[in-house]
Amino acid sequence: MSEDAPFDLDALAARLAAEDGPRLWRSLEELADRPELRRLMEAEFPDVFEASSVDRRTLLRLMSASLALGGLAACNGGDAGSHAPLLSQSRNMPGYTPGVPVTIATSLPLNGFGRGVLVKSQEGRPIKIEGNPLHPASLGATDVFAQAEILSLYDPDRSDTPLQDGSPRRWEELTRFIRPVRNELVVGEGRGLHILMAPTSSPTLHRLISYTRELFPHAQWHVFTPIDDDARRAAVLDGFGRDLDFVYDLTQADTIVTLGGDLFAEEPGHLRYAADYQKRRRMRDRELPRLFAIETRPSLVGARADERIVLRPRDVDAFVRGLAASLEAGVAPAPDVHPSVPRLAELLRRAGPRCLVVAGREMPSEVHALALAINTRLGAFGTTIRAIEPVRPIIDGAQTLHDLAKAIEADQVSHLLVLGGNPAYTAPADLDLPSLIRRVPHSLHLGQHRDETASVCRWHVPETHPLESWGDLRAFDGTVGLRQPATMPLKPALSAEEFLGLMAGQTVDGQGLVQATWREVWGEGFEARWARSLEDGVVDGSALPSIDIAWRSDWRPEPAAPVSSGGIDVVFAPDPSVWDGSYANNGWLQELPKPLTKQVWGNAALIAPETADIFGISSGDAIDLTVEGRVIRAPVWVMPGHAPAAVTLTLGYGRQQAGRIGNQIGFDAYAVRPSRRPWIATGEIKVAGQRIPLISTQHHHALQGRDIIRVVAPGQDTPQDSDDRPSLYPEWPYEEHAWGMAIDLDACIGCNACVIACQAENNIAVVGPEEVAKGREMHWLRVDRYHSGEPADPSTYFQPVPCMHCEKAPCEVVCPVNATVHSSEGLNDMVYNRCIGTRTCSNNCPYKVRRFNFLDYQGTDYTPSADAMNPQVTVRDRGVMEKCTYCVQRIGAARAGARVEDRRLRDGEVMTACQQACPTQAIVFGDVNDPDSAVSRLKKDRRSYALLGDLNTQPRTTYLARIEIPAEEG
Amino acid sequence: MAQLFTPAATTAFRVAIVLLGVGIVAAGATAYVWARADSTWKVGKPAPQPVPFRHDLHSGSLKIDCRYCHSTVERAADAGMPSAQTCMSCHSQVWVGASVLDPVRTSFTLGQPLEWTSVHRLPDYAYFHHAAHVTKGVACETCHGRVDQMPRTVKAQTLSMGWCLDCHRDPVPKLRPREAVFTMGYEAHGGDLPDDIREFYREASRRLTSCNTCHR
Amino acid sequence: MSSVAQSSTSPVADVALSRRFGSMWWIALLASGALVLLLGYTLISVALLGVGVWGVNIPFVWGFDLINYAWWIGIANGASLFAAILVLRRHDLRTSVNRFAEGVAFFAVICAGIFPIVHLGRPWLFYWTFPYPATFQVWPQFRSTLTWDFWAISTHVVVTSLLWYVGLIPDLATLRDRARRRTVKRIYGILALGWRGSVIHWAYHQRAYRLVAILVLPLILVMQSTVAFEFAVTLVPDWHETRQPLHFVATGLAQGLSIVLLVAMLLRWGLRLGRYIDEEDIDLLGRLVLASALVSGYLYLDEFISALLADGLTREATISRMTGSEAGLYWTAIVYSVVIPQLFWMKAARQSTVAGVFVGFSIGVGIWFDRFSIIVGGLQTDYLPSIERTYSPTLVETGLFLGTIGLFTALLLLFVRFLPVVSMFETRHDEHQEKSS
Repeated sequence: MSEDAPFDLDALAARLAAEDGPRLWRSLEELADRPELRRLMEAEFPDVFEASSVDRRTLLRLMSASLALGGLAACNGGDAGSHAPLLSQSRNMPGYTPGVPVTIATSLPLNGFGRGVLVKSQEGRPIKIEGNPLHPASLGATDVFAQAEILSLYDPDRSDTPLQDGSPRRWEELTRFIRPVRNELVVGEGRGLHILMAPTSSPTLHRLISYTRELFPHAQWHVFTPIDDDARRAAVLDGFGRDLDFVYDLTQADTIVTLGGDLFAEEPGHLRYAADYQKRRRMRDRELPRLFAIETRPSLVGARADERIVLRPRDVDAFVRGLAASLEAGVAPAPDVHPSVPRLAELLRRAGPRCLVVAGREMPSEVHALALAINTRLGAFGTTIRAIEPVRPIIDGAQTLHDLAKAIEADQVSHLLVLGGNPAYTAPADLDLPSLIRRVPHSLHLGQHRDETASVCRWHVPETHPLESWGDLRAFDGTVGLRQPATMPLKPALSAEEFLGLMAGQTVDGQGLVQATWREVWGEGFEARWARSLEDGVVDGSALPSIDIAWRSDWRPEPAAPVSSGGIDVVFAPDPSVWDGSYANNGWLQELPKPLTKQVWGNAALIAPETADIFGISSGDAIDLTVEGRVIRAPVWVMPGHAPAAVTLTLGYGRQQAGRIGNQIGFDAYAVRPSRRPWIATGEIKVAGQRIPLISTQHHHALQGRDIIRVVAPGQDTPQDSDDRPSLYPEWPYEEHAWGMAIDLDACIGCNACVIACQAENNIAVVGPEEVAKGREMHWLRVDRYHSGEPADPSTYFQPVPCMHCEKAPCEVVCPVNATVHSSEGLNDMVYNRCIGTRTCSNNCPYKVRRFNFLDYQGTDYTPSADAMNPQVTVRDRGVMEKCTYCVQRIGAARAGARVEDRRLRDGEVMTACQQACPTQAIVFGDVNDPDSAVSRLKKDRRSYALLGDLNTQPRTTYLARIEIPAEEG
Repeated sequence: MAQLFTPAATTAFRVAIVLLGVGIVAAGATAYVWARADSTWKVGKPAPQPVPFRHDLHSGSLKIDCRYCHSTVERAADAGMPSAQTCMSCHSQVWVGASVLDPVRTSFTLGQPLEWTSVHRLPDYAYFHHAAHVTKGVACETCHGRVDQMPRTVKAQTLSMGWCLDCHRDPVPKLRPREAVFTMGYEAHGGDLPDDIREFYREASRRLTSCNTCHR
Repeated sequence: MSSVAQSSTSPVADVALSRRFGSMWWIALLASGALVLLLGYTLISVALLGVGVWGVNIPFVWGFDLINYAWWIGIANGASLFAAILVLRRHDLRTSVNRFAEGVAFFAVICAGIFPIVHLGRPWLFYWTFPYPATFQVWPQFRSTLTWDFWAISTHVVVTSLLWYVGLIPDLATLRDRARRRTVKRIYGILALGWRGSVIHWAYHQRAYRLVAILVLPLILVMQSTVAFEFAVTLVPDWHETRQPLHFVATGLAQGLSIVLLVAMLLRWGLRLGRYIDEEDIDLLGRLVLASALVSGYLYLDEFISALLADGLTREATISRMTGSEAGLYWTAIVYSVVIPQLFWMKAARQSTVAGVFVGFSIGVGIWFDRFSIIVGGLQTDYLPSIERTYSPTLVETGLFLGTIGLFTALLLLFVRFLPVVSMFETRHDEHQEKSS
């Protein structure tokens, strides 16, 4: 097939040139030269053309004069300004109604796994991402990264032209470069060709990889991701003798023990696991499950756990050995077992097969092995755990990044192909990958940005955004979701699939490549199944089946290594906002308060209060952290509940070539990440005697003994406020609907999905670090985080706080111009175009949920393209107050729909953005006038209470108390 | 020494004071009238269009139903503009050579949208839903006037917020039965308004005057 | 007019009519003029960029804008009330201090008037607080204290300017008669509204003057209370207090008196008006200042006690204002506005120019810090700990404040230059009575 290749290269060049942005004049120029067009025009304009020869200029004038010049520009639906023109489309588009968004089901990758999403697209421009209810990894919920992909799609810094040694090249030049090189490689059967890519679950990619390998038998593949699961794999290979992935079923688990990591934030199935855990908690007929988190760094799962056991990483091993020993899993008990081991062991034994022990990604393989041993021992397999074929299959013979480094040092690499990712930045520092890549004679990087890797490769090729291109992805349980474009490519670029297709001499048409994959699999009946799968966003029945596996009977853990006493443990972790750094240029995520620290626009070295006292430092003091001879300077964050003598560094900051938003923010933890111990290393702390300002949205985290967060024991109820308190404010009649919201603090895991979903839905501005530091962030919905108890190991509570839409709203009476008023359905309307900005309403809001446009926040470097804006929500002006509207545009749309169909709104028909994104259904919205609505039922719940109820503001947003099992029962 | 002021000075001064008072009142009155004048709201003022489309021909003489071109008016917020293809469905037969139709044909040929100038565009903080109005008995004519008599499309009403509110406060007198919504020059008399619509609006005025009905 | 009278008040008139006025005045005018330019700059930057150029945030949505507003309006109220009372009681002191007390009130209210408009997010729409038949048929919200404030401040401008101007008319006439150059004569002539000093004129004048003075009385109560309500009606724990209006009225009075004293002292020293503003006047003024300082002292005490008696959060809020991170503001206020004025127990201090200037100044400073402490310190404690923040003013804000001070001084300087700073007709009237008795 190699001989097809040249043809495809031309096709590629042609396509990309044509795609090169909506530039009418250029396309006109090109069109004008085409004979076929000339013929066409003659047919259409006989009267013009019969007058003998029409020269090119006449033709151009004719076209441009009669064409809607603004037409193309106006396609960027965002600017619906007063002067927006009325557009007559060229052709009738069946199924398309102007102004009515279209929903497209697709899948988004995170660390190679897929999460199914539904993309809302307005006039062909994606504006919002929701979870796909049919997708097992989503169940309709989304995480912050999925929500933020909209902004990444419109990132102005995305690369749009090939680069050679840093200077732009035309696509034709790229193809002119590739063609000979490729032929040469084909002849040499790929000798000297090394391909570096991240592990992927995409069947199409794997199919193309195998084709490529046929073509280049001697090419060497290397797989690398900074967020690796190597330790777990080693344990699995050791214990089961083969590679496997695991799927947990938390609805079945009675006792769950997590060892580090974050089951609710960092596992491939985190959304599903959070949802299942809450589902299990809601099972009235079963006793509440017990969740224990043994961890160094506070995590979401730890915050939700019934009990946290704070351990330094180096002590976890001993702890698990103790646990395993007391469960007679054939393990010699460690000399001194942790006091809570026996109790934990007892609970596990009681749970039997309904137990689950999960070790986090950063744990050493021994811990993983012991965890698996315990699960096997108690028969958890088949109940709470399923073993499946690895979702991201290993490319056989694939090597690691080290091997690549070695190969380059040995000058065995003549051609290096970096397919996606940003290894030059994410590689452990001691490999010194950037300078190694520079040594490779021919290197090519396919990536979305002109990032650190692009700058060290000879060639850089723009990569499409997942929302622009075709592909397929498997979810954590193997379910396949097809990835289909939700928009025309905004920038000319290639997907990894297309590039490999090119290399393999296949077509460069992504759709064709994906279809080919599944035509092979499905055989006849392909068309129907393809269509259905595209519509559903999932290929039904594609989940990988459980496989029977046996734990090696003669397995014994290596004797416990003596716990070293020197130094402090340095734990590396993916960042809750920018993951591994790939989201660094995303303003929404940068400004998203991290769940536990509420820090924005940067990262910090998390240390325990105890450690802080020992060094005599406080949050914002810089330390010099030395790991294996490498030093970084980082500000510390004193994190209640962090393990002493340990420090946590989150990855993904300190980038140099992320783009206009992500550059030089925070510090780069990769710089001290050792390649041999990428997750837990040992280091030294030195106080630097410098202060590095940290920006946070919440400065006080003590409840100060106030009745803000309520906690009840199982089955207990919380004191109810009396409704018959006198008020001078008027009573409102409600004929039809009265909207209200209930937020279940027992379900909220603090994941922030609601915050960013709200931001995406409501065009909420990103104000930037300086403004946030001044206390001017704009989030309509904030998640307050409180600690109570000992700073060494406090309980952590999350409380999402949107506008309360008070029945007796204090803000309404103080506005001099009636800009904030009570609606007939009990909403507290904020009328931007009436607001003159006295800010009195905010003064009189006890919840301080109002946000003010102190400056023109919609005209800054952080402001996304108008295309990313939701046209159903007014973009707020400078000097105007704004706040949560209960997504009134969604209410309006739903009502209009119901009116047209002449029916009443159904319960659950209106979903607020925050509600829709929530993985645990902690937020329920609906009509409180309808006694049978879900929200009414929750408000009748005995756990229901109003925040600051004693102020008699009668908030429409109420909370359900968190349920905690009193300690003595434990 | 000579007098500073002539004897008339006092009178002059008094007159000045009176005039000042009158002037203030007059200014107020002028502002009041100006703010409500049709000219201020560009009522009856046509806008430049790529094609000299004549509603009076198509809707008036040819009696083409509004919905033939504005096809989504009964199900969407936007009434919908006819595609070049819709135009060509007739104009591939009639007026084939006419140069005034060049833009339409070019659009049809090159697949480029055709850009009209809206004369009814509301400010972007006001959200209007055609279907919600049309399906509840608000006629085209009520807001757009006798389109069937317009050689060039113009605004027939100020479309000021006050004008909207006048109807939103008490819609019933302005409403029509569904079948009369698209007719022009219909004489509304409350009697022939179906009860369901009366029922619907009996309680509705509070909701219709809530800010979020039009502003989000 | 009698020659005696002529001679007795001629220096005052000469001041206004003299062609040269000494370099001091020019320097002072230039200095304050520079500050007025600064004011212009800050106003423009706010108009162009938005109130974000100040240190305001959520929850500290108000900063210097409201602090300065409350402060200036306090001066205006104090001074005008003082003047009005003197007029109504026909008190001797009025001869000497009325004129510039009224002036001070008028200029202060001008400075104050700037803030309610510039503090808006969209100042160009300020007129929406005024009820007029708009085409969008939306009316102001009459329950809002800010709407009341709109009426209060506009009434205030009208009344204080009237009080000042009506008082001026007879003296403008005198200046008209004494001026030499014709143009000057004409200008004063027009301003004098054709005053001919006939009995009927005097009768009307007295009636008008006293009528306006009576209007002032309720005004100060209304005005200061309205300002206080802007805080008292909110749910902010520290502000939500029925005692706020009283606090604002009393401290406002002290503030007004102190500034009058300050100006009196400066004029007396600067224009050598010892004859017209004599020891008795100064001493009386000093006593009043002391008395008002004692009243505010009492109110601070009342605040403290009512805080102790209040329920949990209110107490916490007030205590944290007195002891928390912003406690400095609170104690500065007390020291400057209550403690220092105690000097005036000593007659010597009351009559010494230096002491007078010092005390007058310090009360002004004290009350400014009091407003700062209420508006910023009061917001430290809110219902949800999660939203607690800090506020620190920016240079632009400070510039705005200095700018208004410059404006005030400039107006004062022009006033002393071109108008009689001491009421000549009142003085003459006094002396007549002295002779006749």
